[in-house]
Amino acid sequence: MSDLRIKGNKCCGGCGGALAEKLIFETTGPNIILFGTGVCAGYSTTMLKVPKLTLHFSGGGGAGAAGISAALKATGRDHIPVIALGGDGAVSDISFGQVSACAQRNDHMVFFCMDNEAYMNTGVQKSTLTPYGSVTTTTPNGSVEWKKELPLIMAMHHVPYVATVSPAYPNDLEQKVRKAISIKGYKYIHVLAPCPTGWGYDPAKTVQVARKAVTSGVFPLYEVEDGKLKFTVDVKERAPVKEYLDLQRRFRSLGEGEVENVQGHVEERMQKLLDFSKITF
Amino acid sequence: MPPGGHRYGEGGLKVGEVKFLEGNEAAAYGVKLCKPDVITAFPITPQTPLVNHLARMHSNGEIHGVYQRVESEHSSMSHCVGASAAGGRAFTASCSQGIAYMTEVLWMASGFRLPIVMAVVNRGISAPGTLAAEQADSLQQRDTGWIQIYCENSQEALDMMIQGYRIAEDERVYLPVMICYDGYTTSHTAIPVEIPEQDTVDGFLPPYKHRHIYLDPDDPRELGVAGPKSGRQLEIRLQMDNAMFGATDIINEVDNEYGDTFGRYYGGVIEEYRTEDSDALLFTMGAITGTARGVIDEYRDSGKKIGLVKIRSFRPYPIEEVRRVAGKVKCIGVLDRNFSHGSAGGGIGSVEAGRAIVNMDERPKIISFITGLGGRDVIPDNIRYCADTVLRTAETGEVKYDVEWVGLKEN
Repeated sequence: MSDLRIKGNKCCGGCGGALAEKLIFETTGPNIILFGTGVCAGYSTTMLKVPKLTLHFSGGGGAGAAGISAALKATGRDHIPVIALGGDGAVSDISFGQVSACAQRNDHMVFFCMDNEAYMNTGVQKSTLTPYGSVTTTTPNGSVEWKKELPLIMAMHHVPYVATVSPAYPNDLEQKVRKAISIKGYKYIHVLAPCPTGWGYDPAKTVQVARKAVTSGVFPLYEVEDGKLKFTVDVKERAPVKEYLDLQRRFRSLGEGEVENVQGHVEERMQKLLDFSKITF
Repeated sequence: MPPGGHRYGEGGLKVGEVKFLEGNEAAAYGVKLCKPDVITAFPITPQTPLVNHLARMHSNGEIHGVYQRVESEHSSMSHCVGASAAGGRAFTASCSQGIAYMTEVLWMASGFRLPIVMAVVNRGISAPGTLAAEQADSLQQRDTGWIQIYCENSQEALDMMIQGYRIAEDERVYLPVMICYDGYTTSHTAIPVEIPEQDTVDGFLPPYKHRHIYLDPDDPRELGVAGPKSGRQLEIRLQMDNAMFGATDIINEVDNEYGDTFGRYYGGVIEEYRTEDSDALLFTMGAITGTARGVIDEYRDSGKKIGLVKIRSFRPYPIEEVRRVAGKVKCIGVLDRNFSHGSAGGGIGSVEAGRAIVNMDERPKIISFITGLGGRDVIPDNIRYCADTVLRTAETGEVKYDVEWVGLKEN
């Protein structure tokens, strides 16, 4: 598959979001209409050989994409997939109402939340997807709030497809994107996009950090299809969360007790997901 | 045909069905006749009957496009921008807080040069809270690059939906259009309205196809990326302003063609009513015009030289037309159903008129009459007060108050 990006985007070296988007667009190919920004106010998608509409930060939740989708339907061109990208600040915070409404209406699009866990473009400020303990410029002592469980919240909208993906697992990512495009209605894909600048790690280690997020259970890979939750990458033996936290300077203010607290939270959440996998949403 | 002239069925014109319609239902018929691809709806009083009528027409199969029930006005305009960019004729309607809430998206609709039409059922903005007529909601958006047309009654609201798309989609314009009419006074007041025939409208309004802005994988282009520092902002704004003022001629042209086709002429950017040999003029916008016509008739019949100018297009502001009428009189009174706190001259209409005429060698005095806020009835006596004031000022050359508040409660 060819890289649809024109060389010379403005991302930092080692940008996990840019890597994930490269994998996404290799899968979709050029016959799409793209809406929104993606990571870092769209730095990685500004030079892309596809038709694209960016509205504004607070429109990143997909309202514009739903409009595109509606016009395509009304003019008989709805075979063109509408792909929408939003960062965690757009999706989880300022335009969460839009995200929720598009999902509830089952508007036809594949919506990606490019989650780098803070407002990175403006210089690393806390969003509602910033994890507990993370130092940002607006939480200089580390955030004391838990991250919103967005993929599960989206699954509770009764949409046909929800998935989590990581750039460290390209095959899993590709399969999920392919499946999402083939389904009618609203599809939500949550991408964990490691950010060397905001998270504080060597840019060469993006894939390592992304993989550790999965193997430690911090970011499990699963999909919810027609209300059934299924893990897509089985982690036989979970790594301690501390190994994930220690890779990044943003968690430097966490004391021993707090690391245990985070570990406990991860265990509890994994148990919930396991429980969910036994029922239908 | 003089502006404001109506000729039903003359000269072989096809006359459509006449129904007794409130403004919102008339507007809904206008929208339906334009065959929109995408309608986005978020309810807000007093616009709600309009979106309800459209929903009924859509569910009956009279409207074939997509009817989107959106979650906010911010989203309704975002949907419209996406739909219009993707090649759909897009419509929405709102007012008051809703227009305020969608503000940032309004700039994008115009900046992308998308020919969206929006009905604004004029209502004041909180606080103090009101559900009734005031033009503050659309007027506060006068700088966003939207064309703004103000209607006097239900028939004009219907007709201007059709003209609105013709103007917006003209490739010399490519700007979004607000069609404004007063909440309750027009939106909820029924008058006999002629509904044009669909095939005549089809002939007047060709299908929508944007020449420059589209989203097509076969010819990919990107809309909406932030430019580099001091990129092309200055040039693009100038281009937009040229299109905006160029629209003055288009609005006049479309009005003429509409009159020739459907039998109703509105005068284009302004309508002059009994302005011949006037010493003084009243400027009005929207529903107040109807009451003012009656007062002008009364004054004219008793030999007083006062006329009426109905400002139909506030954006583009009809600079040349206003200068032309201003050059013949000694005083203009602007009836403003809005107020700009701390402004140089009361209402927004008055400030605008003042700027339009300020560089004329001989120019009239201008008085701003603030009236009708929050749906306060503007009765003939209120307008008589304004008329007397401008006639006296025309005679003496003395302006007692730059700004006058008309129709205040006594306690």
